[in-house]
Amino acid sequence: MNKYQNPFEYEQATTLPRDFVNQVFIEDHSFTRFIQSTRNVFLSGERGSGKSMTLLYNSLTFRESKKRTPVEDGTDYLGIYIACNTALTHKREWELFEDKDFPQIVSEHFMVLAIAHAIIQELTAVSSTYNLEAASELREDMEYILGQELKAGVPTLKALLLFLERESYRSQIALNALKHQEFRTTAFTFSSLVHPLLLALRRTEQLKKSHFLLLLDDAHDLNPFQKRTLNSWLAYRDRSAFSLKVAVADLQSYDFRTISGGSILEGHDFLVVDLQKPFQSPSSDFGKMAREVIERRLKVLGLNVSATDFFPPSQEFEKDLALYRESAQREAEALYPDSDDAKKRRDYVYKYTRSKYFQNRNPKSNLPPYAGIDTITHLSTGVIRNLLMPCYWMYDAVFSETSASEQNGIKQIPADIQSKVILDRSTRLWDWVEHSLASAIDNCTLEDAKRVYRLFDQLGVLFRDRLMKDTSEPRAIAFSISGWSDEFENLLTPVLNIARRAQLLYLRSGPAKDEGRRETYYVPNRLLWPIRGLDIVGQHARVSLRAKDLWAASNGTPFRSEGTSITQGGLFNE
Amino acid sequence: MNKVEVVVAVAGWEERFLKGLEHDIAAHQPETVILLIFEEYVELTRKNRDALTDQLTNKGITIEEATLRREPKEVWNTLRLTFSDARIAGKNILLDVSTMPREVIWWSLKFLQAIECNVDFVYHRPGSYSPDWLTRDTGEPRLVYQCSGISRLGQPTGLLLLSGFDLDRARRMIQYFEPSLILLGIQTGHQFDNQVKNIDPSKSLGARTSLAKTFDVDAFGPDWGFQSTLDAVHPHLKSHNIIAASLGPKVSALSLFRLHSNYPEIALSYAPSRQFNPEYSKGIGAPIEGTVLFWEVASDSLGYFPSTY
Repeated sequence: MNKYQNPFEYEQATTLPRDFVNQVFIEDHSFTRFIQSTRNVFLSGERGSGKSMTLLYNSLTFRESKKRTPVEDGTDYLGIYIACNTALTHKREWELFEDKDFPQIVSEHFMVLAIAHAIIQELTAVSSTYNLEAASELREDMEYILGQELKAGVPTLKALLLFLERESYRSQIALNALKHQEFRTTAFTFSSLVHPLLLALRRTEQLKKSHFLLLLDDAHDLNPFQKRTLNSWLAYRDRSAFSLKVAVADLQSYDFRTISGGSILEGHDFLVVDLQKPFQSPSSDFGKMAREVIERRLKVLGLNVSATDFFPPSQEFEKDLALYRESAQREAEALYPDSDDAKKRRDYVYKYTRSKYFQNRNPKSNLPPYAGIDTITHLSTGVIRNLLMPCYWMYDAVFSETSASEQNGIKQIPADIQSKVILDRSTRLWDWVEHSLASAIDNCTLEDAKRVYRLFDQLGVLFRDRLMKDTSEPRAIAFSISGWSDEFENLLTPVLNIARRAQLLYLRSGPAKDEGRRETYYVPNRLLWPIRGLDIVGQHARVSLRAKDLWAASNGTPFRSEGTSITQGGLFNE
Repeated sequence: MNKVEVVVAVAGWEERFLKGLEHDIAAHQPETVILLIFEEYVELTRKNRDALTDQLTNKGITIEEATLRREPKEVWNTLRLTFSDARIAGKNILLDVSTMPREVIWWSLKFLQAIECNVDFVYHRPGSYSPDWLTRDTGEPRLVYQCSGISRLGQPTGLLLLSGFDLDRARRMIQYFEPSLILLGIQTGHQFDNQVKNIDPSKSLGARTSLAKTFDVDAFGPDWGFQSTLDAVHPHLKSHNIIAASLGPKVSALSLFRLHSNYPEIALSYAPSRQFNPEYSKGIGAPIEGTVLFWEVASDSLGYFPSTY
C-alpha cells in the first residue's frame, strides 16, 4: 500500500511539518501585512480559524525553512513564535501565595523566560543567515545585563539558552516547593530581561535594523496576571525594537486591563484582525481563499486540479436546480414585468430558486445531495478547520475504497461520497451534542447540555419550517436576538456561551434594521443542518428571535413563527 | 503491609464507602480515622457518616473530621494543615482511595511523603457501576499544585492519559493542552464490561491518531500498571514536557504519583467533575491493597540538565 498522506490534515498547526505549512499557507488572505508591521495586533478567531498558522508562517524558523529571505519578505521583521499553551503557563502554584505581589512577580518571571528563550531559539535556527556568533559584543552585553558569566566554551546563543534553561529549572524547583522568597530577588521582568536582550541584539551590526515581532499564540491561556502584564507591554509607546502580535480565541471576553489598572484601547494601542469570515459565497474573500487552500493542499500531492473539479457538485442536484431557476425566473418576470425591475427579478431568483428545490422534493425521498466545493465552503461557516475536516474524511473514504495501485491517482471525490461523508459528519455532530457535551465542555452541566441540544433542535425545526413555507426569506439560517432583559440575559447567555465554546455557534456583526447601526447576530455551525435536510447555503438574512423564545426553546418549547421577524442584509454591506 | 495506625478516607455516599471502611477497621484496628468531608455532599454522605461514627465510637477509635469545599486551594490547604500535625509524622497510614478525588490522593501522598510516613493504600472496587453516566460537568483541566512538573523551555507538550470509561474527558484534555504527542494507556481486561466501554480510543480521537501512541496498561495488575506506563513514557521524557492524567481506574492515580515522584519533571493534571451520579455504584467488590512506593526506581530524572550545564 502507498504511504498514506491526507492533504487535508486539520490538526493544530504547531504539529504540522514546517515544509507543509510553508506550502499550504496563503499569505495574501491572512493579513501578513499587518503582522509584518510595527503595530501591535490582536488576531482574533475561534479554534481552527488559522491563528497559529498565521503566526508560525511569519516566524523566523518557518521563513528560514522556506528559504524566504529577508529581502523577499521586504523587511527586517524578525518573527518570534511564542506558544502560550505550554505546561509552564498552566502552572498554578501562584494561587497559593498569600502575598498579593508574588503572583504577579512569579507569573511575569516565567513568561519573560519563555519569551527570551523563544527569541534565542529562533535566532539559533537562523544563525548562519545572520552570523550572530561573530558578534562578540553580544556575549559581553548579556553578561553585563544578567550580572553573570555565560558558560565558557560554547557559542553565545547556546550559552544564553543554557542560562535561561537553568533559571527556568531553578525557579520551577523553588515554585513547586513554594519558596516564594527566592523570587523577590531573582525574578526577571520584561524590563530586566526581554527588552535589554532585544536592545543588545539590535546593537549588533547584523541586527541593527531589525524589528522583532513577538508572536504570542493562544494568549487566552495566559493567567490573569500574565494577561495584565502583556497588556502593559502593549501600551508601551516605543515600538522601534519590538511589537506584539497576540492571537486569542475570543476577543470579546479578553480582559484589556493593565497592571496599573488602566486599559489598552483598540486603535490607540493595537489593531484587531478578525480571522473569521461572515460570508462563504464563491465570490467572497473566504470563498476565494477556501478554493486556494484546497488547491494548494492538492498540489502537495502533485495534483494540479481545481477545487471545483476535485469536489464536483451532484449532477442530479445541478440539473434540478436549473429547472427551478427557470421556474423562479418566470415567476419573477410575471411579478416584476417593468424594465426597471431587473434587480427585483434577480433578488427573487436568488431568494427562491433553492427554496423551491427544497420545497418540491418528494417528502418520501432521501435527503438532498450535499456536494461541491461551494457546498463544502458554506458548510465551514467561515472557519478553515471546518472546511478541511469534511475534506479530510472524504479523501480518507475514497483512499480506503481505492486499490493500492490507484491510490496515488485520486483525482476527484465523487459527489455521492462527498454527500455521504457530510451526512455522516452531521449525524456525528448531533450525537456529540446530545450525548457528550456535558463531559466534553468545561463547566457545562448536564442540564446546560440538554438546553443546548434542545435549542439547536428547535432552531432546526424552525429553519426547516421556514424553508418549506413561502416566507419572505425562507433560507435564513442565522438569527439575531431581540427583547433582551436582565432575566433572560442571565438565563440565556450561559447557554449561548457553551454553544460558542463548543463551536456550535458563531458570532457575527451586521447592519441592524435601525439606520446605520450594527448588531450582533448568531450563526449556528452549518454542519448541523445537512442531516436535517436544510439548505446550508443560507441567504443574506437572519431571523429575529426573542430572548424569551430562545430560552423557552432551550427548554423544549417550539418557536412560533409569528414570534419571528426577518432582518435582511444586503449582499455587500456586511 | 505495616501495622496501620491512621486511616484516611473521603466521606462517600456509595455503599462501598461504609462497607470498605468496615473492612479497613476490622483488618487493621487503627487508632484514628481521619475523615475528609466535602461540604457539597454533606447531606448526601450524612447517613454513611453517622453509621461510621457509631461504629468507631463503639470500638474506641478516634475520628477526626475535616470539612472542606471542593475548591483546589482550600483542599490543598486543609490537607496541608491536617498532615502537618506532629502526631501523624512518621506513622503508618492507610489511604482508602475508594471515594477519594485524585487531587486529594496526590496531595495526601505529597504531604505524607514529606513527613516520612509509611503509606499503604486500599481501593474497594464497587460490585458494579451504574450502566448510565458516572460523572458530568467536568471543570477545566488544571495542573496539580506542587505536582506541576518541571518544564523545559521550548519543548513541546506530551500528554500521558491512562484512559478509562470516559473518552470525552480524554478528548477534552487533548483539546485543552493541544499536545504534539499523546500516550494513551488502554486498560486491559474485562472489569465491568471494560471491552464495551473502553473501546479503542484512538479511533474516537479522529485525525489526531497520527499524534497518538497507545499502550496496554493493567491498573489491577501486580504493580498497578506502573512499569508499562513508565516504559511508554520514558523514551519521550527528554523530548517532551509530559503532562499525565489518570482517567481510568483509581489505582492508576497511584501509579502516576509514583511516576511523578521518580520523574518530577512529569506534571500531574486533573479535571474535576462537578456532578456525580448518586447511583454511581452498587455493592462492594474485592479490595486492591498495597504499599505506596515513592523512590524505588534508579532515577535518571532530569538527565538533560546537569549534562548540559
